[in-house]
This record gives sequence, structure tokens and C-alpha cells, in this order.
Amino acid sequence: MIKLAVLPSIFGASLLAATSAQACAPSGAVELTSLQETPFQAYAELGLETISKPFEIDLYFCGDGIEKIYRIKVDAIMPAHQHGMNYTPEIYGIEPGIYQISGMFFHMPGMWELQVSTHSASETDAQSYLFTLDITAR
Amino acid sequence: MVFGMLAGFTAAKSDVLLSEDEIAQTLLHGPWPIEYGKDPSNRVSGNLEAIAFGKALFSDPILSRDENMSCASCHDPEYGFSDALPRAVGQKLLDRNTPSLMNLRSHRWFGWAGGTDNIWAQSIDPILNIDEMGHDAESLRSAIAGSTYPQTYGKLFGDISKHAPEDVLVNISKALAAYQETLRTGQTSFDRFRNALEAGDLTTAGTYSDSAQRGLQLFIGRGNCAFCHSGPAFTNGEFHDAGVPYFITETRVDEGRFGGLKAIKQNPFTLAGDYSDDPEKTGAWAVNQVRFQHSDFGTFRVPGLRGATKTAPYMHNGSLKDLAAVVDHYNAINMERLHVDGEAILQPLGLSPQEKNDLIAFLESLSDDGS
Ligand code: HEC
Ligand code: HEC
Repeated sequence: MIKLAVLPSIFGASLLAATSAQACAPSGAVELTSLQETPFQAYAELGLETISKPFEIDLYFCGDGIEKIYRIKVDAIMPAHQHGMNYTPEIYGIEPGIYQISGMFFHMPGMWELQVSTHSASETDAQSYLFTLDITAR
Repeated sequence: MVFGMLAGFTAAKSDVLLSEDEIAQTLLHGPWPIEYGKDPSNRVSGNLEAIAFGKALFSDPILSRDENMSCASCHDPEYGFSDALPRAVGQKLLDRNTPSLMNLRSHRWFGWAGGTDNIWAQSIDPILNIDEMGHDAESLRSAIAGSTYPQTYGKLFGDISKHAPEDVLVNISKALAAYQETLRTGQTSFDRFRNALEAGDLTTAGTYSDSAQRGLQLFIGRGNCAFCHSGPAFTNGEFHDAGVPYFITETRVDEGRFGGLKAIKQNPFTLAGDYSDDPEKTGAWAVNQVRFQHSDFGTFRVPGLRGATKTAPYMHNGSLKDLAAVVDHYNAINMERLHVDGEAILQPLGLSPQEKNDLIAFLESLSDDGS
């Protein structure tokens, strides 16, 4: 778990500067976890500064099969208080495997679980993966 | 580590009682005041002539059809621009308490249920409400056109005789908003304490009373108050259930946020709409992306707590007569009144009489700015 308040927000950071384990995500991006075996990894760069302000997330998917990602869903919940966000985030595809999420909004301090799922296009060979990240907001 | 031990070296009369973590949490409630800049949705925001015009309109009964009521009838400067009544009285007894108009720019939604997303739209509501000022756009335009205001109006907005009634309504409301934006609370003893902590000046910080410090510790700690009353304005700007009954009569309920969301979806005067002067539509994300949730039923906007000593009685229905009653309410909160899918934040606190006084002393320290 990480303290987001101390993470710099570096949107628009050059992808060439990538030094993280996966060359496709910029350094400073944090890896999401998954309970399943997944062919690719998910990384997030978080623009969260404080609660009760909209913020952005850049998502990067790295590894095999990212070209099969047809659609992603993004949400967040507060497990301790059994509620989600009061707003529906907007998702923009930037390039294959890279998405920008706007209108993220944490209205309470404490632990939020970011939930990202990826979905393939094909109905017959439907594949979806769920990634999560625990975020402490204050 | 306890900072009080450090402060001991400075030979201050009193000490800072807060732990390092409590200090970090305290810093989140400032700095204050916040400079919000001009409201981009209102082209006369910050305009001195508009502010003066808005101020004159605010206490002018011309804004009510029968000329028997002004904004100031309910929003009285004496009471932090509220009215000291449990529920407002317009042409009849209204359903809700009149909120303060201080620090309006700290909000994202307006009214107890957030039926509007900006100050000028919220100012339109009472003008048109049949139970309050009872104008329609046409009658308002005639009233303004027949008054001494057309020249001032003309300077700010253009020739009133060429304006459609709806545009006059919106322009008048934007002048009212320009004035209301200027109503702000100043620095209080809490802010001086907070700023001294930030500067590491424990001598100055130590002059904040021990009682208020203990109350602050309860507020950010065991009381869980800062979960909802967060940030520099002591509100997260969203909607919660604080265990206040939402029955208006035995057969009628106040839907709270649920009703507010229905209202805003039909409101043409939002930040996303054509009446906003902002080509960028700043802030429109909220109305565009807000979710309808069943849990919104019977929730109300978390009030900011600055200046609260002036605005009794409290809560959306004015049911609690003073701050002591509010503290008693939270102390012995009725869990059955909270929604079943509640957030598990509020629970009876079991405060001692001394702790109750401490919490009140802290709340009072958010109001002693001398305004
Ligand atoms: C009859 C009493 C009454 C009159 C007259 C009145 N108001 Fe209000 N005002 C209220 C009440 C009650 C509310 C809460 C409304 C709600 O939650 O639905 C309110 C809410 C507001 C708010 C929202 C404050 C917040 O914190 O969200 C603003 C702004 C406001 N009024 C401005 C005005 C202006 C401007 C006028 C004159 C054009 C005016 N009011 C006239 C009673 C009144
Ligand atoms: C779950 C969120 C939440 C928590 C936690 C919470 N409040 Fe509130 N508070 C609210 C809401 C919502 C209202 C308005 C309720 C209503 O009108 O129905 C409110 C109203 C108030 C008011 C009245 C303000 C006014 O202008 O009417 C005071 C004072 C206050 N709270 C203090 C506290 C204190 C002290 C604590 C901690 C013991 C606390 N609150 C905890 C949400 C919360």
C-alpha cells in the first residue's frame, strides 16, 4: 500500500523516460495486483493530491496480448464504508494499452480500492481480467 | 512522539498536546482563507460594480413579486446570513433551515440537497419559488425595468429593454452571486494554531487553549468528524446521513440528495448549460458525471463548520438548537435512524461532560474571526 499524498503527479511525462520494471510504463507508475494469472501487467500513474477534488489516472498495460484489450472499466470503492465514488469516471484511450481516466473523486479519507478490468472484444473467446490497487487518501 | 514534550523546552505557558500524526491531520484543515479567484461561469464575478449592484439587490424587496421579502429577510448578516429560525418562513413555513451564505465558493453543490451546482443558479430558485419571492422571469424583468436599476444593469449587461426575461433573470442572479461570493469568514484562533504548527512555532501554537486542542483531537480522532467535515472549509462538499430524521410531517419526507439529483438533471442553469459564461465549462464534470444512487435518499450536504456559532439552529431542519445539542446528537447517535447500508462511521461516542465541552470549544474556535 502506498501513501498517495506523497506521489508527484507527472501527467504527460515522457514515455521515453521509462525506467520501471516494465519498459512501457513511466517510472513512478505503480503496479496493480491481480488475483488471476494475467498475460499482461497494469500500471497506474495517480494524480491524487487530496480528497474531495477530481483527479486523473493514467493507466498502462504492459506485456502480451494488450492488443486484445477492447474495453476497460474503472471504478473505486471504499471497502470499510461500503460505498463507491459519487461520480462515474471518464475513460479516454490514448494509444493501445494506454488510457487516461478523468473525474476520479475520493470524497473521504482512508483506504480506497481502485478496480480496473479489461475486456476482449470477442464474445466467443471473451476474456476479462481484474486488477486492483489499494490507495490511502487523505 | 508527543510534541508537547518538545514544547516544554520553549517554556510556553501551555503546550501543544497533539501527536505528530494529529498535527499532520490538523494541517489538512488549512490554510485559510482560500483565494478562489473569479468564478469563470459568471462574467461579472469579481466586478466591483456588479458586487455593489448585487449587494443592493440582496436587501431589496423588489425581487419578490409582492415586494414583501428580500434575500436578507432570511439571510440576515447578523446571523452569518442565516435567520435563527429552525425552518425558513417564506409565504409559508418552508421545509428546510436557512443555511449561511459565508464561504459559498468552497462548495461544489448548493442547497442542502445540491439541486444546483453554482451560486447564480441557486440564487434563481428563491426568486421563482412560489412559496418564497414568487416572481416569474417576465414579472422580474418588469420590476427591474420600472425601478432605478436599469442604468446600472445596462452598464454591466446591456440594455434591459432588449433582453429576454430569462436573460434578465440570469443576469440579476449573477450580480447577486458576485456579491455573495465576497462573504467569507477570516482567520480564527484555530487557523493561527494550525499555521503556527506548520511553521514549527510551538510557542505560538501553545497559546491555543488546551480544551480546544483536546476537542480537535476528538474531532480528527475518536469522533470521526473529519471523515465528512474535511479540508480547510470543514466539509467534503458531498452528501451524507448524519442521523437527522428526514420526516417533515408524519406523511411527508425530505428526499434530500435524491431529490436534489432529480432537480439538477432538469435544471437549465448548470455549469454544463448555455447560461454559463465559461467556454471551457469548468466544473461541469460534476453534473455530467454524478451518479444516481439509492443511498442518496435522505442524505444532506455536509455543512462547513466555519462561522457556525452564528448560525444556530442546526441541521437541514433546524432541529438542534445549539452546538451543545449537536454534540449531544453525535454523542448519543440513534443508530436506527442511520440508513441500513450506512457507512459505519457514526456511532455513539460516550463522551464525558468535559470531552463534550472540549469539542464545543474546538467548534467555537472556528468562529472567532471577529467577523
Ligand atoms: C424565505 C427565506 C429565504 C429567502 C427569501 C431566500 N432564501 Fe436563500 N435559502 C433559504 C433556504 C431555506 C435555503 C436552503 C434551500 C434548500 O436546501 O433547498 C437557502 C439556500 C440558499 C443558498 C445556498 C447556500 C448553500 O450553502 O448552498 C443561496 C446561495 C441562497 N439561498 C441565496 C439566496 C438569495 C440570493 C436570495 C434572494 C434572491 C435568497 N437566498 C432568498 C431561504 C431563503
Ligand atoms: C458521515 C458524515 C459526518 C460525520 C462523520 C460527522 N458529520 Fe457533522 N454533519 C454531517 C451532515 C450530513 C450534516 C447535516 C445533516 C442534516 O442536516 O441532516 C452535519 C451537520 C453538522 C453540524 C451542523 C452544522 C450546521 O450548520 O447546521 C455540526 C456542528 C456538525 N455536523 C459537527 C460534527 C461533529 C462535531 C462531528 C463529530 C462528532 C460530526 N459532525 C461528524 C455529516 C457528518
